[in-house]
Amino acid sequence: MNPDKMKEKLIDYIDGLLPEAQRQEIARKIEEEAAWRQEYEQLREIMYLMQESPRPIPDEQLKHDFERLLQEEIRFQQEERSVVKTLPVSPAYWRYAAAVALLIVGVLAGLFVHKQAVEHEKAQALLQEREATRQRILTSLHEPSSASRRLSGILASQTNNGPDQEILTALIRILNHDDNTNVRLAALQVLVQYREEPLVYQALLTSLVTQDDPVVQISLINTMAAFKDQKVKENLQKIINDETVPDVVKDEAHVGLFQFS
Amino acid sequence: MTEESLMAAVKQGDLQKASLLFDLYHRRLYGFFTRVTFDRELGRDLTQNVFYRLIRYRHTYKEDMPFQSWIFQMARNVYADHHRKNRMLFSDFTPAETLEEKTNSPMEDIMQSEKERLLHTALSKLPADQREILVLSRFEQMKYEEIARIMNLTVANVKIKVHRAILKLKEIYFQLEKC
Repeated sequence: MNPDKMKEKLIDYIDGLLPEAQRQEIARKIEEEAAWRQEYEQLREIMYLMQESPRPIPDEQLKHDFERLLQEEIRFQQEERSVVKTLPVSPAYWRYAAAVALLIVGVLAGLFVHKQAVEHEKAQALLQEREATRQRILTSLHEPSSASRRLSGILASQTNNGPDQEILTALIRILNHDDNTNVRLAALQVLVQYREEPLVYQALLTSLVTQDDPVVQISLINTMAAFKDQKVKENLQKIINDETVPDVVKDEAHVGLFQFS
Repeated sequence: MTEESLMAAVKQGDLQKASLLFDLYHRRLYGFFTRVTFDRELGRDLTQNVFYRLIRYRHTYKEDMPFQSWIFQMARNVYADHHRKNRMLFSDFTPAETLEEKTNSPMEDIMQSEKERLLHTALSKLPADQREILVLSRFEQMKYEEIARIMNLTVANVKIKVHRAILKLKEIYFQLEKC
């Protein structure tokens, strides 16, 4: 048996993975040959140390941060559900109800007016609820001390009928200026979904060239090269020509440009 | 409930079940990240990021996939993103001497003996991919089959990689011991 093969067999021997015949052969080698005995003892020591090494324990803050993230997400989800529940629906039941209402509308004009007022009230409540959710999202997006809150806000920004211009602007600011790369990447993922908005697309084009986080810039390159837009191509060329850009980013820009050929 | 059914419930919108999955896995993920990066703060951030992704991408979970494989695949993606960032910011990813400095402070509580300290110093000198597979196989004690599923490799390939990493670690460890 060649030495490399023997070393591998020693590991399997320690792991107890060898068939009986091979196990006996290896045991004999260990007993008879001092060099293999030493190799075996060293391997056994290192493998034992790894197996018995105590696992690092996180502090309570990790759990606390996660629970906060989760509860915010649950709250956003519940708000979204309540919005969906109160949205006007049009099953058959409502169509019949509308027909009956039409029959009596002439004689019950007063009630009709009253109903309108109620509907208006409902619509107002709905709008207020949406606005409250929107404000909570904006507050989360502007939370400087907690990356998990900002992530939570980004997550929620896709609910509540999608982000409006103010939320999109906040997401663009995060994409370009947040201290945390993961938060920037999360904002990018949402923004890409709304690239049909001129404001968003222009911001993505600009960020492609000016982005100061290389990971995010590479993610922008990979995402935007697929758009096959001439402006993206021009910006990729700018990245390649920029002497201040790290080589690894330029490499990605080259790969991106290749997709246009 | 199994981990898979808990995750299926999360996917269906019962987000509170994610808290149970966090309780089951956050220590393992934190241990994984802390051991491959030698940085507690970073370990906490990366662990948090995995659970953020779990919620964010809950709809991508496929019920026929073991939850452990799915969450550790996400963990590897999170680590790969971090790895890529560091490779860009520095000439190479986390130079060994930097890791060695880190092993002398934030991991004190798990390095109670000289051998333990030597083990982590040797581990810090391994290439990142070897360190990662050793952490999964030997520290987290995952089976080759589980690692193969997580890394999308064959079982035979995983076994070869683990063996090579053990032999390399042993070589470094006993070299350090002589010094």
